[in-house]
Amino acid sequence: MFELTLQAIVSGLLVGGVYALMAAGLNLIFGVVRIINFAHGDLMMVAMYAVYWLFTLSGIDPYVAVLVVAPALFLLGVFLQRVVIRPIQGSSPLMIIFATVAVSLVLQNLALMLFQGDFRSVQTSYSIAVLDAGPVLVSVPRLIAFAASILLFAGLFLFLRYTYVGKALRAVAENRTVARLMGIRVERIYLLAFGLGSALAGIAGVLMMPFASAYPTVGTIYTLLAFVVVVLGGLGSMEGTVVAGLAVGLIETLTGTFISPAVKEIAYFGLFIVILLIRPQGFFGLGKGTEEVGLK
Amino acid sequence: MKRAGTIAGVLILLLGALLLSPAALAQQEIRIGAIYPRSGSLALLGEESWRGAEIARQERNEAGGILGRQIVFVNADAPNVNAARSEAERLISQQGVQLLIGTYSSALSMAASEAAARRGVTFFELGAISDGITQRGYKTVFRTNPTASMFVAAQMAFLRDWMAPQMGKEPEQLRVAIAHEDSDYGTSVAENMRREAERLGLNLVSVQPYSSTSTDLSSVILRLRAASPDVIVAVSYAQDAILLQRQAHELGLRSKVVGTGGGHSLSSFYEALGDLAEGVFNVDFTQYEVNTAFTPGLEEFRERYRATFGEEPRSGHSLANYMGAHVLFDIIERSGGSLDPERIRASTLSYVVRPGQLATGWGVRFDETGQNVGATPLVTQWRGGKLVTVWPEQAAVMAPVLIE
Amino acid sequence: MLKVEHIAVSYGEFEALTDVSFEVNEGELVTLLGVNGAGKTTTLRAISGIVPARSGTITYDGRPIHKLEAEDIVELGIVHVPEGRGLFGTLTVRENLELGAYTARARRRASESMEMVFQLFPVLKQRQSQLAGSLSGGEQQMCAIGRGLMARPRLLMIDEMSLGLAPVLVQKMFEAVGQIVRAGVSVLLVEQHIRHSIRIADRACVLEKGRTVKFGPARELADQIHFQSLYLGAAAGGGSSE
Ligand SMILES: Nc1ncnc2c1ncn2[C@@H]1O[C@H](COP(=O)(O)OP(=O)(O)OP(=O)(O)O)[C@@H](O)[C@H]1O
Ligand SMILES: [Mg+2]
Repeated sequence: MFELTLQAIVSGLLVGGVYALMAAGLNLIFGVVRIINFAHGDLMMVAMYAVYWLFTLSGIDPYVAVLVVAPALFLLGVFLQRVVIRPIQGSSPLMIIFATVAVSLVLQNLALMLFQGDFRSVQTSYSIAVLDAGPVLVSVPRLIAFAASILLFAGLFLFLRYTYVGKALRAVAENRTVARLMGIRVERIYLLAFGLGSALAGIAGVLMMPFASAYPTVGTIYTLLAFVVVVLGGLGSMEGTVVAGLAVGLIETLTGTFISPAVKEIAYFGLFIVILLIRPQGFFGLGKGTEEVGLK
Repeated sequence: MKRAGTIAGVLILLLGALLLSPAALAQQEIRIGAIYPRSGSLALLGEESWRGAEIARQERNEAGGILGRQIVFVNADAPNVNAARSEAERLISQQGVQLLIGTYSSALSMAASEAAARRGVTFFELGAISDGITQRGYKTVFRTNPTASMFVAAQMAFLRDWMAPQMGKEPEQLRVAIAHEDSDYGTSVAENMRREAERLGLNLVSVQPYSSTSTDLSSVILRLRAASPDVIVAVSYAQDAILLQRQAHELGLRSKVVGTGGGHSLSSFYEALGDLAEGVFNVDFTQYEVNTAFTPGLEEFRERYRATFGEEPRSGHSLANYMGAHVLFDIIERSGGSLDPERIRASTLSYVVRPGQLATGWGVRFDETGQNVGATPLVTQWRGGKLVTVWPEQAAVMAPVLIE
Repeated sequence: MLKVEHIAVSYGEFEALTDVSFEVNEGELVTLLGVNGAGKTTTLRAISGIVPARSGTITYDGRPIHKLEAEDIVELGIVHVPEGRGLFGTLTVRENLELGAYTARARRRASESMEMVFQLFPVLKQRQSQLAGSLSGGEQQMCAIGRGLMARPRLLMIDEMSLGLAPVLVQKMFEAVGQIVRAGVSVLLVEQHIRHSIRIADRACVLEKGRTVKFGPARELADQIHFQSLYLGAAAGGGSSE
């Protein structure tokens, strides 16, 4: 029983790290640009395909591919903000939801057209490596993904806390008009936030590729999960995102293991709905801007 | 002068339109509606299924068609249940189609075949396995492929007759666990399994339902591990089949795995898992590594598939649809090229082929419900990157083995 | 230095300003007066580029600036301390001040400016690592003005500086403004405490329903306002200038 519990906790934390990373990008975009990007998981999908093709065509290791994929996703995010979001920014929340859902559909169908529905995976020497750590077993690529997520979070915190641009991102998230009065070029900050958020989704895709498969609709469930995590942790709150990401991973694995796998999704969706009803600002939430995206 | 020219032009256009109209064309061609999910999440095997039927169509047309008439598919994409129903209705009412085929997915098949049956139009299912499709009392709904309960019967027989003795156990000592995705498909198949396992006296130790869209199945594996089964019977789609196998390895679960069609038979299962796929069994439609003496025409199909689509078939779904489409064409031929539902039903029920004569090796014999009871699933095993048929013996190319 | 001529501003259908004109010279303190809704805030927003002027011109050192973006106007040294302070409440006091010096021009001298701000408002130095949202009202206003000074303004516009502050603090804020002006920064002040602001201002501009009704030396206005407020029975420091 002890071993089982321990293993469930470890497994839960490992997947929670990736959820948190996915959610971080979504939340960054939400906090700063004030839109919910329903194509977030699809950006991850794009990154996964990129890793697959780099690996298959040029033998580039997935972890090396991040050097190409993360900047590419950054640019894709900048492009989306510039071309899709900016022209309709300030219009109704519904309109913006439609726009990002449309981006999601376009990306999925593009993937289907170009690569068919096949499941694409990369097999590396470490794909199936497992660490035997006494009472628990730990998959090596999952551990790497977890550790990298935590490191990225640390980096993100430092960036937001200590750099001028990071402070500007937080300022814009809090009050765009006043930010403009400081001379902060808000449009550029939006581009940056969308780019960074997309790059984070891309990195999540890279980290998952050694143990997951790419297919056109792989992103959908991750968009949903990231959204749940963001709401649980609080819209706009990065600390909340880490905690909620890990919490969702834990809830999923623990309820799955000790109640039934059939209810593990119900467990966190239930919590999600309860939180929306009683504490829409999330565990740590600022609650700011929720009206703007039509959540309140 | 100018005016006369205009009028003449309009007349010519009208005449052309008349000549090219579907009604006019229908005089020469046999039009069949083909409903498959070709976009959305079911697209992979939906497309794969359609390809099989399409190859049969091309082949038949090159060989002169049906009684000299060319076969034309009116294709429709049905990514979901609503689309399946509305596309079936559209093909019938707007395109004037009198016979439909499809669909790969049981849920889509239920919807599309119901729409057809309500209008008295014939519907041939060539790939979906839910038992219910042919159990609703519709006189115009038929199915060429085996049902879910036929899969389960083959699977449990394999466990009792081969797996248990191989492990040196009596059937009642064989610890069996079921892991199934929790949609209608997985749940109904798992329920069949439970009953069949009990009937055969196997020791069922654990049943674990899970959502096929799960991103993590460690809890499923941990629960299974706690039940220490000898063999895990899985009912999975593509993504979850891979995830189950991978996480079983990650969490140290070493039981034998027997899949139930679907995900375990896809080439992507092996591509994702490599060595981890080695030795995994699967009960499925006929696959390509099979004793070809038992499946005449399979090699030709495979070659034609490669030539047409530039790649290897991704699963046996295309082959099943290929075989089913040919059976349908034969049936149409036997009713003199007529698509009249009464005549089609009569020639369907009287059409019989012994096992080992068609590309899937399946026999053909329809019962009153419209189900082909001559179709039999086979047991395959992943060996060195290939899904080889291992059981029953007359179809096998290798003997099954237990791989540690 | 700053010249506002006949500007008009609309919020959708609603015309908030119809004809506003006044000017601010180098080193001068000008106060903008008017009842609630007269258009004082809107005037400041038009100057800082947050809302566009529909007609009229705003020139700065002889150069038209009413077509510029807010971000570019800050760069020119026109800095707007908004009504309600507009602090970034989830950022620390220090971070708020740093963001005040966001423009390239100001950032070069950020540490020097920070020293100056701490000298002017020593309490901010003690509170620097506290979240701005947790400051008291007076401290918040100091932080807001301090943040404005961080931008190295040539013209500082302060909206409703003493709103909601205790009399002692009001006194303190006015002293600070005096120091700022003495340091050579022009100030455009929107204030509730009319008497007080007129006393320290060089010139005053009175707005009524979106137009300038009076613009002249503060001393002249002081006499009239003194008379009128007595006449109307309005207490000095009330909202009315009429
Ligand atoms: N964003 C806005 N949208 C529509 N109308 C506005 C907006 N902001 C201000 N107004 C209107 O414009 C007019 C001028 O407002 P403004 O805020 O400039 O007045 P003010 O002189 O600053 O008043 P107060 O002393 O209350 O701050 C008012 O009638 C106000 O209702
Ligand atoms: Mg105001």
